[in-house]
Amino acid sequence: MVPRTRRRFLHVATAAAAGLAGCNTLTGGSARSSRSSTGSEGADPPASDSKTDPPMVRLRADSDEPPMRLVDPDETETDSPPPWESRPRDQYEVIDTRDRADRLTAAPENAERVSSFVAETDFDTETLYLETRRVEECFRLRLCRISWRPNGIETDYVRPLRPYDERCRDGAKVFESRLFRLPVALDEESVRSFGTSVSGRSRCGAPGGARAESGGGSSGGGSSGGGGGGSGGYSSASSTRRRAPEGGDR
Amino acid sequence: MRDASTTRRGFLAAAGATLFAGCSGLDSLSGESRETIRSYRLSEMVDDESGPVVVESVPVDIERARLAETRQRVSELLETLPMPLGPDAVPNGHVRQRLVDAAGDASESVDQARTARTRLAAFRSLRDARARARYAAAGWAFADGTATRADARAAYRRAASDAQTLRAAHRYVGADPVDATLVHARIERNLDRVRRDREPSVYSGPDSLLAVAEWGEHAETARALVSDSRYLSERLASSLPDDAGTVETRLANAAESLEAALRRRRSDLPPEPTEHSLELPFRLRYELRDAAESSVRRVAETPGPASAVLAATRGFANFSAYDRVRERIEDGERFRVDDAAGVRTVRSEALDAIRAALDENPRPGLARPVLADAATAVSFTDDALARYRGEVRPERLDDEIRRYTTAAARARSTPAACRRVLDALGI
Repeated sequence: MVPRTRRRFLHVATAAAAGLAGCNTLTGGSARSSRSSTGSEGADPPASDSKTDPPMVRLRADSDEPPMRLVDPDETETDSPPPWESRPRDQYEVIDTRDRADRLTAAPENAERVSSFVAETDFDTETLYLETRRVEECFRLRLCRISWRPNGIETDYVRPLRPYDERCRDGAKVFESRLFRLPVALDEESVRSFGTSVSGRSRCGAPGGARAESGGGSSGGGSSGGGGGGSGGYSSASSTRRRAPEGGDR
Repeated sequence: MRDASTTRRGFLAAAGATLFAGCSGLDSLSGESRETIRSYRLSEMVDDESGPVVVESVPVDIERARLAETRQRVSELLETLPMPLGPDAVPNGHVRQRLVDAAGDASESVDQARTARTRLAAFRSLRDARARARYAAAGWAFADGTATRADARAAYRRAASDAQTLRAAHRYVGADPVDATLVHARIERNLDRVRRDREPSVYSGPDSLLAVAEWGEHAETARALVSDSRYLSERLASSLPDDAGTVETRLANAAESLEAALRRRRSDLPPEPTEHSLELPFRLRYELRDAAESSVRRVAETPGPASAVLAATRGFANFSAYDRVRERIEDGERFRVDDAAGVRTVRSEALDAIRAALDENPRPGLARPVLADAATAVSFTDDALARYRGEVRPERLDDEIRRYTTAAARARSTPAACRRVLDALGI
């Protein structure tokens, strides 16, 4: 395991300032740092929508910390364990403003990639959604579908086994973080529920992926997908809204 | 069937109502007692038993040489593995562990065969061992570049085709109808299983090592079922005089008349009470009635006349067990136990009933499949008793009491059921 060293993680915005030309808006663009409450596009988000292949950055890490995370603005280097250590399960964060996006951190080797992705986001019409799950090292998560509505986001995955000739430890777990760009302006405060389903299948079925393949399983209850890889299990988990740490992003 | 669905719905409705009412509802229904039973008193009463008191057998002589031959097949498969299987051989730890587990299962089944109480039990354990050994061997062969999924699928298809050919050509040879029923029923079920067994799951990914391993296991199981069926058929034939005829018509006629009799029994069932509860008497009655009502379908769905005759034996035992328990309930029996001695009594009654039913039966072989089921249910319940820890309220043991009581009722009903079947077979 890579030891947890906060210095290894850099704020995406910092990385952008140092390493990216033309990304100043990430660090200082006040005009784009928050969404107009009246909604300049003049259109309400649709009741619900979904995508099977949204723009996304996926990072996987065998470490004590997720490879991408949204830091608490009050968090300091000497703080006691960050929230994911006491809540080692799934993490869900809606990022609806550039200020909030400035709190994204990633390991240095990935910071540029993440910051570019953030820079390409138009928060007037788009929203970032960060989801982190733990998955067994010998498996991968493959997104089948992400769907959203004004008050909730759901993801469906399958969990293929990695090839037999890739070295991994049975039973060990790693983080998979995904930063999605959704083509909708969601309001972080309004998104109250998050749901994830993981089918043990290796391929998404058509149409609808894990949920459709496994014949049910709306989110709610259940544990994250562990256990026998070839057994084709199905699990789902959901979370009601966790309050993001207050402070300065609106 | 209308009665069955009404009963089931009623039971589920009662269960739902209780769940909504919360745990206090359960207590108020079952009448919570203040006395508890220390769990060691439960585990000590099952410590002296090892396995079911009756296990299945088959009335042909399974030769030691045949068992040795299957063990040899298992060894040959396992010897292909580079044990210990390390990360250099199979880097993916999960995949590697699955192969190691399969090889372990195979060895364990070989050990179980050595200590099995009947040759049939050994025969079956070794079949399991073959299948698990092939899983490991096929998986490794894929990694080693010497096997593909297409190879394993082709092997399965050959076995399935052999099963079809064997089934089409099967002759119901026999002299004694009961012995013939027992052997042919096993062959019918084995060959039917080749057809019905689900193909390996798609969960591993169609072209992965584990998919090849699963197909290998599937193919080996099919091959073993065909081979075992052919062997049993040959052993039965070799035990008969040259001029022995076939019993197919006799078995088919018996199966038909027994199924008709079971249908009549089903139509004569008395109405069930309209009120429902989760109390033990109701649950006992529900379970046994459901089993009785399902008997006709089970006979109709069997893959041949011999299996139908055995299913009918179970069916008559189920109807009679239901009648026995219903009468006890109508006489006011509550099936309650208050202490460990009460549990011990109920359990002993089940074991005694099973042993007595085997001893008293005019043709123990015919009773054995039903009694082996009852004995397995007792063993399963023993395991559940042994898992309790701490202080146990008697109400918590309702499931165990229900299973012991059901096993006893079925066992006591078996001799009469066998007589009914023997009558249909003209014995």
